[in-house]
Amino acid sequence: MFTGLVALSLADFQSAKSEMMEMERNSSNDQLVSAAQVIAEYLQLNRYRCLRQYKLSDNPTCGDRADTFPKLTVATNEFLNTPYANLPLSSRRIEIINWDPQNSGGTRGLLSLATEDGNQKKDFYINFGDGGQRSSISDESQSRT
Amino acid sequence: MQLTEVLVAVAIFSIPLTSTVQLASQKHLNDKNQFSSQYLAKAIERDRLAIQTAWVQLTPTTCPKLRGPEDMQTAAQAVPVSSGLRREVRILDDQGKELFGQTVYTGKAVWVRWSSSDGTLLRQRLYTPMGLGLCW
Repeated sequence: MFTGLVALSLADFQSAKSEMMEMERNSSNDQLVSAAQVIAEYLQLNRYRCLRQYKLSDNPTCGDRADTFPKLTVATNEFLNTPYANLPLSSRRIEIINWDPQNSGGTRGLLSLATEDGNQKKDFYINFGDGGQRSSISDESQSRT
Repeated sequence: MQLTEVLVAVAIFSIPLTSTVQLASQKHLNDKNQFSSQYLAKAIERDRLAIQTAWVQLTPTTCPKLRGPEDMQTAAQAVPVSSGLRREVRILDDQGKELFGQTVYTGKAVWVRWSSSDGTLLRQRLYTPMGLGLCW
């Protein structure tokens, strides 16, 4: 009986551990979605709009102020961490690992984000609502752990 | 049988008995906590889908339209929250960030935070009108 209860307790521990990992994964996923929303907002702004036309690997600089994707990453992390800097949920930093424009006009693109530890990655299709079209972000892709 | 032998025997048998009772109560507590967190996780997911459904029914406007986040907050507040769950919808008014010697702005956004009834933060997610397709 004693051994049985020890085994049950170990099973409970494993279950609780899995649950913690699931919560951790949800938290990372939420942060990636939040980051994608902010990056989409930034890319909508005149200041960063020119970046939409280039791939991340092109290492583009736009305008007199040399706006770049790395600068956008920093801006996004700063923005995400502004209101809740002390909360563990906001502590993971996000990296833009790819931006792939899906057309020459820069109105649609595939944004790939990852947590800085590389444990979670997610892709988003972003449609910019230029020309009176409704904008959207698709986070349908499955995250990989 | 001498008294000492009885006492030793009692001591030997009482150790696993006490441990068994402690483990059983611990297991019961774990089961209860597990059920509670699973219930809350599902309630949060249902709540998230409910408020997003309310948001996508809002009328799209020109981006950046400053009214968007206020409308989102009002629409979210009209959606009832499950028992045992707290939802906070806060408008984040970006005051600009000083980066590389320049001030960078983005639009207003909405932070949604879900907490348990004792105030423990469970999830938080940021939403913007642009991300929800509410502007062009």
